[in-house]
Amino acid sequence: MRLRGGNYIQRLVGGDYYALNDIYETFRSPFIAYSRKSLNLSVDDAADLFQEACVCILQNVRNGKITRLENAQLGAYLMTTGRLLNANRVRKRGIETVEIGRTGEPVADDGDDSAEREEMLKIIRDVVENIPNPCSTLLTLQYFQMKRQAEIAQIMGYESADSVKTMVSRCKGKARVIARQKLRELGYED
Amino acid sequence: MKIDNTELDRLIEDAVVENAAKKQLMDMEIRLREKEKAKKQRRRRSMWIAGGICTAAAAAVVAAVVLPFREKSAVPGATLAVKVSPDSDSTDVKKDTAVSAGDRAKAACRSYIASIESYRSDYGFEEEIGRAIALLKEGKPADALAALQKTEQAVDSRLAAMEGDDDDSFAEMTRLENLKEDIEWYMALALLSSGDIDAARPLLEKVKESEGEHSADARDILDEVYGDR
Repeated sequence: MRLRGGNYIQRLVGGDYYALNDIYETFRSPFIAYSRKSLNLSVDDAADLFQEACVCILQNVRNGKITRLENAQLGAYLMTTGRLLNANRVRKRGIETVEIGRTGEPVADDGDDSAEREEMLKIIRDVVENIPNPCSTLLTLQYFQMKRQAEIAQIMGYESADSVKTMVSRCKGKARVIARQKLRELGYED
Repeated sequence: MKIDNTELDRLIEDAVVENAAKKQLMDMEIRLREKEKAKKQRRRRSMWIAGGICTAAAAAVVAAVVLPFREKSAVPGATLAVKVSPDSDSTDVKKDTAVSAGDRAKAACRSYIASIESYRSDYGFEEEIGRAIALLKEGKPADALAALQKTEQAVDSRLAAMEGDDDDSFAEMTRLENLKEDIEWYMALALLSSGDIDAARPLLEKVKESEGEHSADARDILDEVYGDR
């Protein structure tokens, strides 16, 4: 198994989210082969599950649940995550709430609160996904690609980094308003 | 439940990252699938070049031989006969049907066997498979089959022994699973070479369903020999 470019988790911790591509390329085939055999999934379902497992790892890095993990351990970690995601999928019909602890062990689902929170996050994801440009691009450049605001100004043709800062703040405000409205409509907020 | 603006901002940032990550991974999946497809096409092209004359001969044999099946409409191969030789005169072809379905299978798989490069033979099972392939290429399909069956049993035993292991055995299990797919493909070729098309069929179907490295080739042989669509 060829491992590419440094420690993946350290790269993710440092904000290099393109490490996900390397993780994906390195572990995809063995993960799919394993899922097909052990979880009895089709190639397409196994690929979907693998993508979710990768995103789950990213979430855990972002919220500080994983800070260190050797590349060689990542395959087993992804597989454990995939197995739990799949079990959650079956149990909850589409609501994924897998939590993995610092040591790579799954953390027990702590009941209704986390399920409700996951539901809310799902709603917010929909809001963000449908937010129009330039906000969509701006927020992606700022929070996913981790570009500096001066760089974003150059890419998107804004006058200065300050203009980008103002625009990002406005876009977040806009997303906030739409998200609150949706959450209220669906009974998550009074 | 009420969330304050700071928490909502954090959720929005999380959602931005997750959506972008999903999109990036989806693009990656598409790229990898395209790469795999191109690789398969390259392999198949080289296979046809290697098989060259053999394949042409096999196609001619298939066209001529499957025609008797047309009269028995339920027999696989009837469709293929129409596809391969739509304009041929059935009475002329009927006169020339001395070749059995088994011979047809032998002809069809000859090019695949010819194109097998030397098998990676680092150690253990791979070496056994390499030896079986050599036998197959030497025209000893029965010996090759026996060797492959023996290796498959050994791989199965190793896999069974690993069943209870923890996740650390993941890479090794994956390697063995991939080896099993290879073994099944070569067993199918050995059976086809012996003319035992009934025994080869379930193996070919399994290889086709695996969507692995040999899946497209298995599909082609099923199409060629059994007239599967």
